[in-house]
Amino acid sequence: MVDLSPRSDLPQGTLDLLILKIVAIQPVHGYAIAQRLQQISRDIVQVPGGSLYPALHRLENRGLLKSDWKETETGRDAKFYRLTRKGRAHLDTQTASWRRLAQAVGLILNMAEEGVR
Amino acid sequence: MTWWSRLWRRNELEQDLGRELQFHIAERISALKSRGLSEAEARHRVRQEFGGIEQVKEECRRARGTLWVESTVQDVRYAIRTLRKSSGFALTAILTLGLGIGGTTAIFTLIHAVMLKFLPVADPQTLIRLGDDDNCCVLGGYQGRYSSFAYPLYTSIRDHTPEFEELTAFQSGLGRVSVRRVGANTASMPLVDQFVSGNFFTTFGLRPFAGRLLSLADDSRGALPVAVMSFRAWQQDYGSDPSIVGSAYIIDGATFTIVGIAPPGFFGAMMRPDPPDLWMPIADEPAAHKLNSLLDANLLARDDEAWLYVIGRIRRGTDLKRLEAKVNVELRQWLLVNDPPQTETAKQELKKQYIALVPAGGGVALMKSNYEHDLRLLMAITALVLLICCANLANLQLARGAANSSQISIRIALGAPRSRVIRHVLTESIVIAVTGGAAGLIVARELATLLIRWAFPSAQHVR
Repeated sequence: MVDLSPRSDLPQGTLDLLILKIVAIQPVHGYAIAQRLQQISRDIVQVPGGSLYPALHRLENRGLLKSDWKETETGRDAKFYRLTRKGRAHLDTQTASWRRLAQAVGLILNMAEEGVR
Repeated sequence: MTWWSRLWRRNELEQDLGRELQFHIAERISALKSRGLSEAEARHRVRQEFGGIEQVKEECRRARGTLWVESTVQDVRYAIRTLRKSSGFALTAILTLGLGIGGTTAIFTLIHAVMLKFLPVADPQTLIRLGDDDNCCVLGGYQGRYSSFAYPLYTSIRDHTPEFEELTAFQSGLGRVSVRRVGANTASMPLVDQFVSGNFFTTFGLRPFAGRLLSLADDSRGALPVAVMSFRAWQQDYGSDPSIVGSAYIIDGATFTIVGIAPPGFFGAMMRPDPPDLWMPIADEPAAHKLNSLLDANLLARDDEAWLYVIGRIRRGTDLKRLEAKVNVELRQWLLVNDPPQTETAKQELKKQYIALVPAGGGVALMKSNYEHDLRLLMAITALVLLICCANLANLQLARGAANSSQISIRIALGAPRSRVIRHVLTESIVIAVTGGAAGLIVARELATLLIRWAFPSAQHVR
């Protein structure tokens, strides 16, 4: 099991992007965000609470997320985060720029392999 | 949520934070238990995954952006608590600072008032005094270095020196006279009066607090005798009674109508412990002093006896050296005509008569020359005392620091960041400094009043 703490292995700012993406689907609490990140990434992305919660609070303070206390299916009170209009716009621009960057990195790596061959 | 409301609703946010993290941990534990782990195993596992819950909380608080305020408040509270615990140290430090700062401030206040302050008048830089001596009261004959003037000599210089926008003369030797309201059945009040030329207040560019000030028309023979009262006397001796303006008073034996109150803060043109309370025109002087009149020649005195100080306001750009030369020529000419030398020695003497022109922005500074040396010495001594206070305090702090070193090691071992430890020590110092400074203010106020009372026992009115 690889423990990816965002400070070391996730590129800077990536955790924020991933959180915004998960929250964009539907309002969700912190624990569920961690679970979903792990499931969707097939256990590659594991975010420890020590990174997740500060990130959530930071995003909330920047006005990208909003939160309310609601009851979960199991009947417990949890803090649900949802995306604000500003958060949506941020997510769109960040996603686009991430895609561009990933594509560019991919191109370079492919070319380098061809060069070696 | 704004930064302010985040700070304001701190307790609520703290609770939310605790609940949120608790929820996460509880969910994780139940998830692990459903995979077959025991309660204890699950808890242990979660603690490993999650890391220190306090550290996570601190990170979240940092994300809130208000952490520095909160921790400063915490530091200050903690500093006050520890200082209260070691109250011996705290008291010594605060008293040392208070006395050191207070003493120095009090002395400086005195020096400022006596030596550095300008008169509370318009444009004090253009005020020039004729004469730099403090010869006082009534003088006859040649003075050598002139600072006291006869009324005719004053008018002669005034009329022949257009470089002075205004030139005012005022009585040099002051004393207390009894003052009583006409028709009232009240005790008389011992107040200080001063005869001044009609342009006295205009020269200083003053405006009345109430009523009006003296004018040139008041300073002529036959004019209705009028007087202006100082704000201090009006306020302290007469309880700010508005009916005073326009009432008749017997001052120095003659009846005067009080026409106005001088502006607050104006204590006359002389720096003296007992400033004048009443100003009357010179033209009324014979009416008050009758046979002892200084203005008119009589059995006892000649009209060329010197009893006035003179201050003038020069036009901007006047060459002071040239003006001084001119005034001195005028002086000798006047003496030649009005007090002609009878002998050869007197003729030689006449040539040596001299008026020095000096800046008078601080007024006629009698106190300055009398106390300057003592005050400087006092200032030096108090500065030394402050230095010793600081050294003492540094010593105390050092001893305390050494005693606290084990405390600090424990704090660092428990994970307190170095910056926080340093900040805490600094906060403690600041708390001491602020409290000491506040104590200093109180000491300074009390001490300044005490010093003035002690230095000038004759002064009845200390502001």
